[in-house]
Amino acid sequence: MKAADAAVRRLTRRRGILPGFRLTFGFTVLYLSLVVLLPLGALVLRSTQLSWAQFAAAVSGPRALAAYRLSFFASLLGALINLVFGSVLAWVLTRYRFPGKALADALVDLPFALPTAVAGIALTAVYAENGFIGRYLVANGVHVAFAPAGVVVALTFVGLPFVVRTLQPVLLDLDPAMEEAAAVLGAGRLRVLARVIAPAMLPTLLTGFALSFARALGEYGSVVFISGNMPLKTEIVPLLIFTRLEQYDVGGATAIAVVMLAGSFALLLGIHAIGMVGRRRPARSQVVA
Amino acid sequence: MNASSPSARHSLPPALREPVLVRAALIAVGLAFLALFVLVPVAAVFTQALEKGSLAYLRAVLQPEVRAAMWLTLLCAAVAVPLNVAFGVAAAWAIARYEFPGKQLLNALIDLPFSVSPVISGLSLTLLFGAQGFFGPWLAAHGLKVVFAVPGIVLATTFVTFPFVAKEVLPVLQAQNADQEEAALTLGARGWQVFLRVTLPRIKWAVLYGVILCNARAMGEFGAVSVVSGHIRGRTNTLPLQVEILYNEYDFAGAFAVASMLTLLALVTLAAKKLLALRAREVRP
Amino acid sequence: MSVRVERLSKQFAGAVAVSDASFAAPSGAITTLLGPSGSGKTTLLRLIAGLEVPDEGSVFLDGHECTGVPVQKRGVGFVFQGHALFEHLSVRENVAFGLRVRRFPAREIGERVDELLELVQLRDHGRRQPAQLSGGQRQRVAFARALATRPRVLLLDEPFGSLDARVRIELRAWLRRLHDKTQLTTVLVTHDQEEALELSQHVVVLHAGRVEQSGSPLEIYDHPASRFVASFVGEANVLHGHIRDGRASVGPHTLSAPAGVREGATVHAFVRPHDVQIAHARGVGPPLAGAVVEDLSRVGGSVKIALRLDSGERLAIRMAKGGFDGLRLARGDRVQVELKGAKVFVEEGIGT
Repeated sequence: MKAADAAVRRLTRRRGILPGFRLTFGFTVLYLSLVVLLPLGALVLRSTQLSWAQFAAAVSGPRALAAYRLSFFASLLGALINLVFGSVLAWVLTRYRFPGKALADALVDLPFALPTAVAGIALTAVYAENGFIGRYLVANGVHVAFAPAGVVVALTFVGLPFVVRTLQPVLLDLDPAMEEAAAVLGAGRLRVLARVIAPAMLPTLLTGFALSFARALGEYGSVVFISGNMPLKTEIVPLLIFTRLEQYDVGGATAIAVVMLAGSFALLLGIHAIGMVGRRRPARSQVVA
Repeated sequence: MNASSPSARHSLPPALREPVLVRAALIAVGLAFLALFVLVPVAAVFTQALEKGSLAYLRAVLQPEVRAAMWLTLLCAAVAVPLNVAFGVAAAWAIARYEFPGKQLLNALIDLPFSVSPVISGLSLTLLFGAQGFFGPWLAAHGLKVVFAVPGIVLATTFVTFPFVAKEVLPVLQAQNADQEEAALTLGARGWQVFLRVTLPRIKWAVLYGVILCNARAMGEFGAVSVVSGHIRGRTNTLPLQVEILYNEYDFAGAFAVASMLTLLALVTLAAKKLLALRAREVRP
Repeated sequence: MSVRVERLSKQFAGAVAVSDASFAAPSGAITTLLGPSGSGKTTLLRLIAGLEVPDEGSVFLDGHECTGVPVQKRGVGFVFQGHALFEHLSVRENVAFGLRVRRFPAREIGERVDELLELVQLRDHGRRQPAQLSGGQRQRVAFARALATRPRVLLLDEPFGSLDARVRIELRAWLRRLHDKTQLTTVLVTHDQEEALELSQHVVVLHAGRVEQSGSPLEIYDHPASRFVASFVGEANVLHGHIRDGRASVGPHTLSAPAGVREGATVHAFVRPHDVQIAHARGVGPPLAGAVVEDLSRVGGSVKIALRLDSGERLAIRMAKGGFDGLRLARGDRVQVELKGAKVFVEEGIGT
């Protein structure tokens, strides 16, 4: 206790005399531990109770492998779609003026705000055989609902705001003088885009893409309605975890969950790293200017 | 107005503007994408809900089960939101105003629930409080039930909405230096007085913004709640879970009717968010 | 009420901000902490206020040690460089803040706020928000707020630092009048020597966290205690030379040097621009030094003359327009200069 007191005093000295460090820091750590770290710790602890053979069997069965593959590639595809069209949308929303722009801008946030179960049944209704869009797709032989394509549609929906919302502020902050300088030097619009704007936006694009991908990987609610949940075909990892749990295979569920958690953390670290590179960038360009 | 503000953007010199056709094409592509993935599905919720007429709609949303689900949903938000507000403000204050070892780690840990699949959150709580969980035997011995009961649902909701307020308040606090708080101290204010009279007024919009987002997620959470709920009708179903049940029973009109209530909540949330963003821009220098 | 600090030291993450600083600010006077940025003057002020906790040393207010007294109870008024007004409160409420948190009765608060707004000449601005005021007005509100709780000491951290030059000069005169009225012991931090010399009765010169010299403005200007003070306070030319026969030999000039210095040691002679006598070269030999007029520029009522001495060193001098007209100087003229006064510092060891 004495040592802790001394440590706090040292900290106060370093950071000035604003009150409340003990209270806020203590509450933060306590609450974080109880609400977040304790449950996740239980998950990791439970997985260590499995034997290596049990663990390997759970995470490398054909059903699990198929689920990893689907989750990974469908999330990747969804994030790519969002990267392309989200960039267009962000560009249009920051640079152009057109009727309905405010509404469009507000709609971008809807996937954040709409409960995923609602999104799930809504997307299913629209893309099913008799749905508003689905009927035209089916007529052309494209099946979305109850097929892997449905998973991609749902994951595109949930990841949609990330690319747009990550890009928008950076596009707004982009110094027009940079583009003007390029134009004065004789570069056409396409070349300005490729040589000036795109490189400046690269870390942001990557961040938006990664955020969208990460969100898609863990998504459950919107997918389970549209995918049809066929093992080996349209079963995503979170659903498989849920299924194992419902079958009282707690060990299996835990093992798959830990693998997925590890993947998410790796992704999170990656996003932080990109963020740090991105933040250093403007400082560097200022030095050049 | 500085040169990079949105309105200045529209008057970009001609050399920096794309040809009209290119602009039109880009706008069309962007809006089509938005329509296909967002606008049409949302519209579908309402058309499906009202397909069998407004009477059927009313009957669907006034069922006792739906009303019970609504109360549970409100309860979840009523517990999770205040807890996470208290946490968010405390965490933002500690991180923005003091130096301490492990600050980066703490900052990263706060984001953790965002990167964990909701199903895994639910599973974790089951492993802790379920029949086979670490605290399971103790809870059973004392006649307490967490998983497949209301406390589990509230806990799961708190977990998934954990970072919202902290994430909104932290950048705002970090952008302000401690000058005004220090000024209050030199004028004789004590810790709580500094917080209530100086800090809180300066972060209130960010807190409110966080509350709105936190509330929307708390009322709409599906995956994590689904795992710990056990789907006991009229007892452990929130509105999103009720949507699932009705849907799986092929009561589509009922499912969409309940879904339309949640969609309205989402639309109100977006509107409030937009208003607050405007308001906050006015307030900030 | 006096302010005294003894052997104060403060480091931030290993970087020394204040090191073994001691000085006393006399009661009822304005004392300036003067130094370049990074000299530790703001940290020193914050240590006095109790906004920082010293690593070592003590702070005395009115002869009582108050190093461990929290900032709320020190009875100091503090004006921040960036004014730090509460942006969400009106001018009145800003001024009333200190009284409100001390739970003064409402009527008393109202009267005191009126009194202070009168004092800072902002009686009609009470209901405005800080954002609606000019920079100078905001800083005056900050003064009123700091004075409202009747502090025993007023601490000012570059209060005019973020203002335009013209407003700054106005506010300087205003502060002077305010102090004449209140007679409050005041410690002012600034990097602007003009502000320091004009406003204060006592100056403490800081350099790299240390107190270089403490004294009246005239003492500091006329008798700088170190090379740093001589070069930082007031304009000065530096000429180089050596100790010869116990005297400082700078070009053809021989200046008195402190006793007991090593023969041959390097000396730096600090010469104020107005301490140089100048005459047309008319064949008079040493001890006057020859020089060429390199540049002339008139600034208001005085003339700046840039000279290059025959030794190659440059000398900037300043004279009144009247004296200059009598000389009829032109660029390229050969002149002779005489040093009326110089401050000599010897490398290793300081003296007169």
